Amino acid sequence: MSKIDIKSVLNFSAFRPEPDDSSAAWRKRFPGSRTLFFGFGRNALSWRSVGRAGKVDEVEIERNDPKEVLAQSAARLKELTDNGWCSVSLNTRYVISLETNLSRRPGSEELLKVNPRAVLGGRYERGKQYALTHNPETNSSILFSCDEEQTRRVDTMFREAGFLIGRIACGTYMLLRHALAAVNATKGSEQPASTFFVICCEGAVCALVQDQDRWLELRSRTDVYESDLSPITDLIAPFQARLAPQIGITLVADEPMPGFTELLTAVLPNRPINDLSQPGLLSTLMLQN
Amino acid sequence: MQITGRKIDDFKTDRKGIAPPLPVVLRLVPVMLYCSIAVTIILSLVYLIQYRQSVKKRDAHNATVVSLNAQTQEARNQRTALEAQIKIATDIESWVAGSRPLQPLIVEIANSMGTRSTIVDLRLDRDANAPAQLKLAIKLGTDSTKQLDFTLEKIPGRNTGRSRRSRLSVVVNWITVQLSYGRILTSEYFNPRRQMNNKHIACGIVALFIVVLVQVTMWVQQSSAGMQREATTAQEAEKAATGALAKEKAQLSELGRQSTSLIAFLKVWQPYFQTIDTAQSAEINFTMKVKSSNLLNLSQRFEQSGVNGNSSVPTAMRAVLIFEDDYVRLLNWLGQIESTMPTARVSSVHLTKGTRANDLRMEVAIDQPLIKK
Repeated sequence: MSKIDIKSVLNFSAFRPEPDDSSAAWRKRFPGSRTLFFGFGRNALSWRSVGRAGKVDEVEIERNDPKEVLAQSAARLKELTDNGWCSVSLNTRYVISLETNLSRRPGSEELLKVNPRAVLGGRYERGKQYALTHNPETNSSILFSCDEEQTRRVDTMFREAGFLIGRIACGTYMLLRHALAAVNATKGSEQPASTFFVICCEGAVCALVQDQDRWLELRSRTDVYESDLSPITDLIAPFQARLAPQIGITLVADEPMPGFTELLTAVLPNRPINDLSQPGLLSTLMLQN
Repeated sequence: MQITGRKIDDFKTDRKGIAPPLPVVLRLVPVMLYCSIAVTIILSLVYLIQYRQSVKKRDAHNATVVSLNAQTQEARNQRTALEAQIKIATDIESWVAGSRPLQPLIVEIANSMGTRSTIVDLRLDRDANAPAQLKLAIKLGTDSTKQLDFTLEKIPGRNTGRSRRSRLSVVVNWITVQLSYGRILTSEYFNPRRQMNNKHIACGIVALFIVVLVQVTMWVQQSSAGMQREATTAQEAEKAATGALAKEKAQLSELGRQSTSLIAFLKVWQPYFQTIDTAQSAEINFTMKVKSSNLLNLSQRFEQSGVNGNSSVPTAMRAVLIFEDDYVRLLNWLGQIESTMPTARVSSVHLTKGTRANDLRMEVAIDQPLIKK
């Protein structure tokens, strides 16, 4: 115990989650403080500032090596925060895959962080971090994995630039979870949902086929597109042949992508598109969850 | 199917020692601390103001008490001095009351003798413990008991409550009369006198601060209350001192009023007592008086004796003189001695017949008081 603990009780911060407490919502961790949300790509660094009232500003992107961008703009970017706290969305060097028969014992999600081998068994790879989303109706699961060294490198990079990291998450995975939650909102198997999820997040794309609550196929690629959106359509075009005729499209992007729905319609014709994209959606999810 | 999307998987390496936030109810602890600080400050200020006021009151009362005590002491000293004077005056008065001249009494008794009566033996002795009283023993040669009544009537200021014991014989009546002589002086001058976790531990420490603040507030309150009690005590002491001074002044005033005549008496008589205040000067004075008398002095003896119950006149020089000479000259000399030496006390006179017809043998004891310096 130190003076800081006493001070935290006196200024009531002890009654709020600590800034680096990942179990708490961002808004509760930084009430009335300005923070930054970074998008970390292979050759791009984007950022949004969050005001004291929780208002998310327009996104800014600099397409260059993130390390160089940070070296050049760190001082300017730091001024957008009160104490240098930021959140980072990993948009590169990760894998999202569809797995089956993973352990679903109670507490397995917490155990995944501490001892992933116990949950993943033979699928575990040393030096990787994992996240899991189970399909409650089938034995399939969506498995997110990224290099532990990558997150450590990102952490170090931002710390060296003078930032304090409050969260490192994967934007695509978050948007995928958001889309899954939006589509699969009814308990039970009486109203099975079928859709084709298309998730886009700052160059990363993830496509998931859900037919009658069953996850059939998932493709995830990072650093697919920049300003030109045609690589996305190239990625999802092969699904047209495998998708059932009645399956619609659920599109979720971190920012609305003008003209993308037309492109999707061209690639996947006669399929209704449910576009859940909103301006600053990823930042909003980061703030709320 | 239902999937919740509110959970975000965080891949940051968590810092060790991240503690969950404290329960909301514990917000009361810092809130109470701030309230305690505010209350402590306000109450402490109030108590400090009361403390300072009490200190001022106490100091003012104490200063007044000191002043009143000084005045009381001064009045007491005055009273003590006055009482000392009264004591001296009373002692001197007592001496003077016991030193009334005997010569007029002797002359009166002698003059009361009828033609067929004679004084065979006359003895006047003062009571050592009550010098104002005389023991008179007279031996008469007479043919009638009326002579005794006539002689007693001639004695001025005699006490009507006398006791009388008589024994008749053929020619001699032995009468012992106790007289309270000097009634006037005694009644005139004698007056009687009057007088948990780090956050939890921190929360506990903050709670401890509250206890400390409460203790501090209570300490300040107790100090203030203590000072108020002291001020009240000082006020009561002032009242008591005022009362004591008033009482002392009243006593002094009353004593002064009652002793006015006694002090005046002292002023008159003290210089006479101070004239002869050593045994040597008293002896010389007696010797000079005897020589200047030109009487036949058969014997003279001087001795220093104590005076009972008179601290102002603790000793007296006693001259025991025996004369035999003409009775007129003897009685005149006795009267002269008593008038010129007003402080001297004739303690005893014994008159008997002398060798010749007009001669008397007089044995007289005269005490010269030696006043305490």
